[in-house]
Amino acid sequence: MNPVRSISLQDLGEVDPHSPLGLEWDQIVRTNPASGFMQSAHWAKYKRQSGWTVHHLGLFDNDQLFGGAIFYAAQNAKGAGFLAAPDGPVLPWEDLERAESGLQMLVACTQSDARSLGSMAMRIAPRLSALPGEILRHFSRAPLNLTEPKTLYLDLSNGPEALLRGIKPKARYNIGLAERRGVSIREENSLSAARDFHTLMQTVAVRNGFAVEPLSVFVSLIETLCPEGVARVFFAEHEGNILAAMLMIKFGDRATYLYGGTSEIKRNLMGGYALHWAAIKSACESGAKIYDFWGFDPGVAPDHSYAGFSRFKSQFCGTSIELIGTWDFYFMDQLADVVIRAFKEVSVT
Amino acid sequence: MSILVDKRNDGSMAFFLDGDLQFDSRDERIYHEALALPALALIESRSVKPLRALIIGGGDGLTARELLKSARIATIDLVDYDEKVLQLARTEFSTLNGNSLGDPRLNVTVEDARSLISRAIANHQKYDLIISDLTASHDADSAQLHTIEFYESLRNLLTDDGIVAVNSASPSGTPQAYWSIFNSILASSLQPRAYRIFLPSFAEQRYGPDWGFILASPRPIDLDEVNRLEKLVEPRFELKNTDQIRDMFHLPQSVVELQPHICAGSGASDVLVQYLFNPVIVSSDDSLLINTLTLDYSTMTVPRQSVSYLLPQELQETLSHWHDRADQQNAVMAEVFEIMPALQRHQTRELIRDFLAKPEVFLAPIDLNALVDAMLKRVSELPEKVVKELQFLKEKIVECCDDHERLLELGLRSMAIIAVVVILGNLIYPDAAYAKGHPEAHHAGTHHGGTDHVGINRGGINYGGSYTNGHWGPWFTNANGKRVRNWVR
Repeated sequence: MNPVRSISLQDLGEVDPHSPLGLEWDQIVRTNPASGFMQSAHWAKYKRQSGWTVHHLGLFDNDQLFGGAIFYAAQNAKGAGFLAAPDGPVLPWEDLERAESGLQMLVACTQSDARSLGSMAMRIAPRLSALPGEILRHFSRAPLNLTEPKTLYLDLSNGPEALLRGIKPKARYNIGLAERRGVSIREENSLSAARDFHTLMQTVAVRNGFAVEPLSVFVSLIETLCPEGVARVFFAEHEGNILAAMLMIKFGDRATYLYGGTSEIKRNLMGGYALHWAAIKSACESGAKIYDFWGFDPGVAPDHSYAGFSRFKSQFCGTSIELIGTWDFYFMDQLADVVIRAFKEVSVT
Repeated sequence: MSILVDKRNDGSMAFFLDGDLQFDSRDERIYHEALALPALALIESRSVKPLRALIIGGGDGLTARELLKSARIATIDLVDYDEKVLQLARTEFSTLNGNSLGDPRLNVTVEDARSLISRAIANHQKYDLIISDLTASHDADSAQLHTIEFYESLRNLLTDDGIVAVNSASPSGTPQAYWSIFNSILASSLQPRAYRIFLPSFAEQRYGPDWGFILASPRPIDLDEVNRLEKLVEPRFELKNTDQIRDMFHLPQSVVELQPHICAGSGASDVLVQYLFNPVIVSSDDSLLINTLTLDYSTMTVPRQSVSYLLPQELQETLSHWHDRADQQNAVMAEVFEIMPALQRHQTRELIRDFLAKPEVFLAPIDLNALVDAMLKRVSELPEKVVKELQFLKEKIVECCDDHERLLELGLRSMAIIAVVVILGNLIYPDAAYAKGHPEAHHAGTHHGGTDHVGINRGGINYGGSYTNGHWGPWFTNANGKRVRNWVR
């Protein structure tokens, strides 16, 4: 017979990452394999600073915090918003009964507050590789992903030397070539990195036909997360030219290659290889056990624009990971509310 | 608010707030002299008394620098809510602003401008000159600083001869936003005049080919008065003479012609933000220029919007005339998705178009039957026509076995409205702008870039589904040469 449990839920408000509660929360997130940096108090601080609404709910078991979720929402969504928990919710998925109770409480709480939160749905993306029993039976697969559902993990536990031996010869050769040709790596975590980084990202975006976030995103990210050691910015350079850059997130035992790209110049110097190798070594030194390449799909057609990215990443010989992706739960009354509002607007025009 | 001071090797600097360029030291004098000195010249010609000025925003101290050049300025109250910017003005920018914040004539208040203005009105304070040097509005809250009510409050603070100068938007780049601010001023019983400059650093950021300001006063500012201006304060670096001021009042005819059709913002309206995010393209042909000082606005009625609508105006209009085009409802459905507006900064037409390549995917997680039932439980709130539409939709949902794609193909307005609401919700989530293509929206290989060694990686949201079925990568055809909706000030 299960012991009697008293699970409760509290709105944790704005949690300072350095407060006792913030430290406790981040420790829970860090040690939960199905969560990640986007559920950390640090990331919440960055999002809040960037103008998002952040809603932090904690689950307690006999007054002991054991999970919860940080939901992010657009301001002024006029009732049509989403409460999104990338890398969340943070639940003890190994204990399905407890996880289900926790999820039900999160749904009930957000649903009852949906109107005041201006949201019509909850959107979650736990880092699970298989559906947790029937727990998500009331959720549906979302049309958008909050995080990369297919990615590549590089196991860092054996250290850089073993890693270098394990990667494909071409990658090893290119890393050595970059070094021999004088490509250097600079870690620059001050705000002055933001402009150079964004400029490079724009170049890459134009070349690849992507949209890139505005400069303010990188300024906020670097300003909030670099001093904490959560974000780190690396540049591969040669004689004053920036060849490649990346922004890496280190949280818990995972280092994530979140943003990055290579410039147009001196591509024969293999700055991208040098950059990744430096970041991998640095991740090892900072105690990370996994390097997440953040997006990997070797199954796409060879002429697909992502095929090249996946080919590049695959040379580091990681493990392909497939997660369950992102799931939606609509608050039906709130959705009806907002659709009725739309009907009324078009009926009086 | 994110702050970036970008110092260059040549000693110049650029200042960004939330990624928006506030000034570039290489050409900031063009902006600040144009914002402050015409207004200063006018009030100096109108009044012989010592002058009281108010600067709203302008925490960098550069507008204050311009006003302090005049010995006629007795006091300046400067209100800015951002202490960090004021701190920069006292340190990093002090050489550039001539240490204006240390001038004994300047009083700095750190608070929301609206609070200071309310207090000043309650205390019956009056100003001869008000300069609004605010950052661009990106949300409903900051749009309140350009509503009719806001400008009415400025009117209450102005002396009868007083002048207000307002930093606005690009007349050619975001003409509706520019005229929305203008019309709010006009509706507030101030008499506005439109003028503009050319600012290389703003153009480089793609804020528009020109940059606009508005001068206003309780009594008209006319051509004769501007023609009579002779004296300008010294020193000046960019504004050569009063002829140059007169030239600033010439705007392209195509831009000027939009003015009567643009809504002023009132109450909770965020119409200004919608205009900023969704600019119309007008010809900025400088061969057809109108001198705005010759225009008579005295009898003009200004359209206004006082409600914060869920559905932007264009969508409302198309959806409300749905049944007028009974024989082409599928075309109307396509049109609805085609005109879906940007809901966040930096969302571009191309991005939205691609986002909506398969609208039915957004409906997939929704139990339409349950939704229609939930709505029909609230029959008393709905017009009869809507109830009938919903009842008909319910029949069709059953008939189509909840196949969302088929339901959309039926061309029903009710389906279109539901789809629009769900899509709006997805689009308003800020990271959605940087999503990657959804699985079946495009054929693989539409875009090329796969030879990149590292390529690009980005955080945030992306389209889901099984990537192996299709498109994982770039779905956004943009970038090169397309406008980026960054707005400043």
